Amino acid sequence: MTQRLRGAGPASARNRGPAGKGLSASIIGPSRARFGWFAAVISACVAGTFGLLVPPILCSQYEVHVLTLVCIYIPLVLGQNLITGNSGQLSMGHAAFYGFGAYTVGILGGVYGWPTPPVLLAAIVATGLLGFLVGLPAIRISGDYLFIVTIGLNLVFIDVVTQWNSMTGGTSGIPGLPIPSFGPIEVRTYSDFYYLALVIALLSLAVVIAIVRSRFGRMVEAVRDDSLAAAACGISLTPVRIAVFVVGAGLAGLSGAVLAYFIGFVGPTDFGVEQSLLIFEMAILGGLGSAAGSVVGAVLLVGVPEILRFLQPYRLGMVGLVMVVLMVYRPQGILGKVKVTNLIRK
Amino acid sequence: MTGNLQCRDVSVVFGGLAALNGVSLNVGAGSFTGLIGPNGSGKTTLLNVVTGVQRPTHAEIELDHRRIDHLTLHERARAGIARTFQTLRLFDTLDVIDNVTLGAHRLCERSAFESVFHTSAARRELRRQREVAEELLAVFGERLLPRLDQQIVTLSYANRRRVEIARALMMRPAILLLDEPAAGMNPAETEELAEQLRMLTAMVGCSVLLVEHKMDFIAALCSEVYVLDHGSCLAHGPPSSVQQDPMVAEAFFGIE
Repeated sequence: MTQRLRGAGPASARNRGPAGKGLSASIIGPSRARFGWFAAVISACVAGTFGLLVPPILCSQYEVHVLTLVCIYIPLVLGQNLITGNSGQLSMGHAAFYGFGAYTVGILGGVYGWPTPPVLLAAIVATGLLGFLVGLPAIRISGDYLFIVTIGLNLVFIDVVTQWNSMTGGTSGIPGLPIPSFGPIEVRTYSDFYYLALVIALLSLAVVIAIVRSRFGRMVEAVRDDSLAAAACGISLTPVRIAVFVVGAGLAGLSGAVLAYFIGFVGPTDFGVEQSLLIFEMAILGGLGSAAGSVVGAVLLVGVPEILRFLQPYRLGMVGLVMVVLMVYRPQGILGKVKVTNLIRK
Repeated sequence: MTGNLQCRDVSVVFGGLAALNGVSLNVGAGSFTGLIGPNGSGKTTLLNVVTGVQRPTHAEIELDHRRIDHLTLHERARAGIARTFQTLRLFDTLDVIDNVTLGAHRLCERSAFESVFHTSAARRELRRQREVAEELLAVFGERLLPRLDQQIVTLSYANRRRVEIARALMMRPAILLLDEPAAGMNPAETEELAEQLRMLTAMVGCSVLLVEHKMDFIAALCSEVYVLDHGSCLAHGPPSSVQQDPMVAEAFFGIE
């Protein structure tokens, strides 16, 4: 899709020059074709919007619950994919950022009783800041080492929130978080939460697409493809890598914040290394370096285990099998263009 | 005219082995200077020292009478040193036009941060850069213009070399360092490249330091040639006189 969009850009721009001054008949052809394409996109968007609005009306409460989880995971995976797919950094501690966002809600929203909008903002900013502090030393460590360092970070995070009883409630966590509200609008029911998570997922998707399609996005991919050549073009590597790390962490913090409000509780069990592994898998399975791939990864790895629920005892094994088969036949993921193996040696 | 590069007393020692041993070299502003020598004589090492990839044991490097040897790789690029690599280094997952346009990084007035918001000024700048990139690529005739949206992996080896040269020139450098640009090209393509390089550098207005094995290619372009052997400068002068130097003949062919 992106290929085709980009392909259309320069070609149509080049056609416009001579054709604009020449015969009007030659303009009508391509512009009608472009209108057809435009109409197709608009109708797809309209259909998509209705498709996304409808679930709370037609689906069971349980299905809405699963869809909400999918939406919560989307910013998280987008962030991981930006860091690992677009920027080529093997970061394996994303659950720490996810958890940091959740605990920001727990502490600021739960303990101190801040209203929702500033809490959400604080979750993004504080987690982004954590990403900056972690990234500053860690980014200098490349490839496989970063992988191990970020696992270490995740373990340290879990230990801190488990031990720091006075602040985080230790193993029992922080229960009874307030119901999120935006001015007069309160987010109470399952369908309310679905719409909240959906809006946040769509906004995150828009932000990530804007980043990826910009000149900065190209710089990030250039640094991933060949850091020496990127530096020889005058690109300073560390700021680019850290900026991506900060954005990725901020998105994870946002996801964590929504999750905390959704389940009304924050505890250390949801943010361990297994969670990081799951997020990592979502990015790889959906497709490294593809924003749409992140969505697909979240849908598959949250959705498929639920669809396979009837296979109860073999459920997780089946999910693993799906992963193995996909990696054998599509090592770059479903929509990706970068193979994870290309990142390991660098 | 800019692009005057002066290297004085460049030494690189790996362990006990001297890859470069007190080499001095001068590239005149706007000129073509050649650098030849057998394999392992230190040509690429010298290029790496000049661009900041390799840390020298000792070196004094000036670009247009400004010391640059304390600068890092990307800072030297911003100061106006562009290069290509002997082993091609392109952004493989990006398409041709993006590869070339990224070369203009140092010229961007709109920040990378601004580009994320797709402001009209940032988009205008990008569009203008793409036009310049297409102008540069047009020098190679129809070889790359129909392939602007193709990924690098789909290109032939010679075309990848052309993309790399265009990317380096896209930054409007003061000096362009070319590391065996004609490697993997047939004689006709090599001859064509000599002509195209002359056109491209005239468009940009930079000087060139050219590392190459093909003597005809050097002779066609360069007014001055340096000969390296075992990390030392063996001879320098116009190509015709260097070719007749008996020491050079010995270093290259092992005959007296």
